[in-house]
Amino acid sequence: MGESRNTAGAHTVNLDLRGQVCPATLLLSLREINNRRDDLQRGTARLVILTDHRDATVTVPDTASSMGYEVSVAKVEGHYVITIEGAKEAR
Amino acid sequence: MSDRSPRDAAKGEARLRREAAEAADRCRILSGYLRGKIDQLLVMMGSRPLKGDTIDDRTLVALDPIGTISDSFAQVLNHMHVVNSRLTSEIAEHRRTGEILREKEERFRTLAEFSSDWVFWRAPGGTLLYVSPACQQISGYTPGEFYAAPDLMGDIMHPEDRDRWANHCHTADAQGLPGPLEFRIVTKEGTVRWISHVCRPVYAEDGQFLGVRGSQTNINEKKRTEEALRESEQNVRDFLDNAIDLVQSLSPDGRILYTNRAWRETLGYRPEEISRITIYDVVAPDARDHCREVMRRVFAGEDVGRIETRFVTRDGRQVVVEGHVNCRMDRGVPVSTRSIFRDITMKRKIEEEFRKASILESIGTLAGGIAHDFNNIMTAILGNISLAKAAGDDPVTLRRRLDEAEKASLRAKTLTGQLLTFAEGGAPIRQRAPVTDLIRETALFSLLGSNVRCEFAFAGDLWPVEIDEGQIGQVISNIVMNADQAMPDGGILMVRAENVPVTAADAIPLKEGPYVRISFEDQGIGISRKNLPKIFDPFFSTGWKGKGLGLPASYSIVRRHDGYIGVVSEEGRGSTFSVYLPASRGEGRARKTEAETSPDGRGRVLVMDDEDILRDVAVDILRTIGYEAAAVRDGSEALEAYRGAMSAGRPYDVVIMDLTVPGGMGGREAVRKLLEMDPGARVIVSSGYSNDPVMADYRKHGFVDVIAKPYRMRDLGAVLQRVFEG
Repeated sequence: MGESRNTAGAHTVNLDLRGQVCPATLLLSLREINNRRDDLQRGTARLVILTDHRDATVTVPDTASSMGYEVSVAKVEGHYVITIEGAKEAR
Repeated sequence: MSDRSPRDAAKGEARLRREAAEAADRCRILSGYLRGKIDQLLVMMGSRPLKGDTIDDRTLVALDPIGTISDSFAQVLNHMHVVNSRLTSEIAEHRRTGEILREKEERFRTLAEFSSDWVFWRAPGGTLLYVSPACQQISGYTPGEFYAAPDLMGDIMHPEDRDRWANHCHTADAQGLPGPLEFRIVTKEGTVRWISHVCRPVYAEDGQFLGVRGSQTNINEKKRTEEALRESEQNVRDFLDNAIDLVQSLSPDGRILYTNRAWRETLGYRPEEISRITIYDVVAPDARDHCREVMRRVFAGEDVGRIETRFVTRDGRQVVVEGHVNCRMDRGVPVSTRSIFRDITMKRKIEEEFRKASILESIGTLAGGIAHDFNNIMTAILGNISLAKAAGDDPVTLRRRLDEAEKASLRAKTLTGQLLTFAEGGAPIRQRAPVTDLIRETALFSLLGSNVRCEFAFAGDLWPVEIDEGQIGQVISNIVMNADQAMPDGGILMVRAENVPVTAADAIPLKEGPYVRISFEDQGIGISRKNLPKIFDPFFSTGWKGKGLGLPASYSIVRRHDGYIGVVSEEGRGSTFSVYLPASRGEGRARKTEAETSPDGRGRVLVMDDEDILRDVAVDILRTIGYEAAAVRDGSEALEAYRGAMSAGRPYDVVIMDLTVPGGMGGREAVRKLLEMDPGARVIVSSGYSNDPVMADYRKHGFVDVIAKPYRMRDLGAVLQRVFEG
């Protein structure tokens, strides 16, 4: 887990969940989203989750979308990167 | 602790064990319950259930899945609430938009469906998107029938208009802009109906072609009216084309808007040439100014009455036409002329022939009369000459007979003089003369043997006039004889001569200036109002002794003296003739009063005349009055004789030349050549054609004086004396 700041001013929270499987991956992702919901929804932060558990690429985006976040999934060198940020229209 | 018995302790321990077991059971049950519920939530969220062997209860509690899931659900619910309220407002907005659209469509439909125009919208590809109900009223087919068969429009098209319709649709469907179209359809009932059609392509906001929108109107009634109008126009044209009169219509600038067949056939133009010419190409050149004036008046709304003018045909023939012109006004603005002309060329020719025939008849009468008069005069001359011959040596009788013969000859001179007045030209030979003596002598002479008495009243300071004494003498004589004839029972003829300054206010057709007025007031029968305007017409006579030549000749003479002759008359009360002669301004040469010239001439005179008798008489007269005389036949001989006399040192002082020599050199040419030879030569012109312009203007032609034939000895003597003294 680490944090960095991008050019737009939002800082990125990295959550490395590689090696974890469900339901832990989902629960840990959700707990992080819950904890940072204000920053995410304001657009001052975004969450980048690294996972190598394939099921999580469905469960995490599904739940995050239902919660009103914009979610994107990318596959990078043997793992997946799930980016979660507040919905643009809500900001 | 010592206070507790072992038994009590055992009992307590058992209770504790029991209670612990019960708590463990309850815990196990609770854990199972919680794990079940957590699994239920996880599965619901698409995840896998918890695995008991991987997560013990303690880890599970630390992980707090229920709290996490519950928090997440709170967010899910919140998000759903946001989404839901957004959807709700979107739905409301959508509903409102729908209502507006429905309202607009309703309005459009109301417009389209209550319009009498047949409106349609054809999509690209030919499908009909909309047809207004008016199609049924116009075509008999319902909108439903059109929707069902998009080709129905082409099918009901009149066979003759199908190609035009197909071309039109092709252009419109290719997003072109075809103009309006008129065509016929065959209605469901089988009748033919005229339709006016307009259309244009329809585009969406993004420029997408949405098809063609068209509107069609029933114009059957309009077409029927047009047809009736055309038919009526054709009828009028047929009528006009069958007319024998020339019908034309002109624009204000003279362009020819319409001509009928008779116009074109008479003037030789083809219908297609009419638009290229103007009326000024058709009107005779010398009638163009008149035509312009008529056009101006017609377009000013004036009634110009009957017009007579001449047109020129395409091949240059002149056509005389008469007719009427009026102007067509449109809201007070002149638009065109409408004129009907009749070709009266033939009528005019016939009239001219009649006139000629009538003149010939008059000339016949006149010739008869003149022949009669001449015979009388000749009888008098011949009779007196015979009597003179028979008189032997009695000088008194001889003299009397010759005087009578001379008098008769003078009457013949007067007669020929009158006739010559009518010949072309007839310019008077004007010389300054005292007019009073001429009036007195002529009037008294004309009334010899009459029961009419003449009284004179002359102004003492009468202005001199320049006149041809012979001609003005004729005028006086004619008027006096006329008065004599008007007073068969006798009476008094009052003759006055006075100075009159003529001004514009006098309303006399004369230039302003000083005039001498000679008036003759008789007490005769007068002239009727009907005849008064005709008395100066040649050959008009009320049937008295005269041949009707006297007054017309007088009129002609006075006009040539730049004077005027007028008459005031009342039937039964008498007439007053007034002769105005312009007063002479210049010094002019006063003519000597005539007297029998004594034979005291001295000098050499050459006479040129082609008539043997006249030559001999002239030579005899000249010798009688004292001149040395010789005679030649024509100009060439005259020049030769003159040259001969000059070289001989005995030149001629005066030459008398006849103006015209048939077949030889006459005086006109000879005087020029003679003056070239001798610029000092004095030549007198003599002619029986006293109307020849040379006689009136002899100086311009090089002559020094003039003598008209016939002449008396004293006339010739006077002229010669003047020339010798000059």
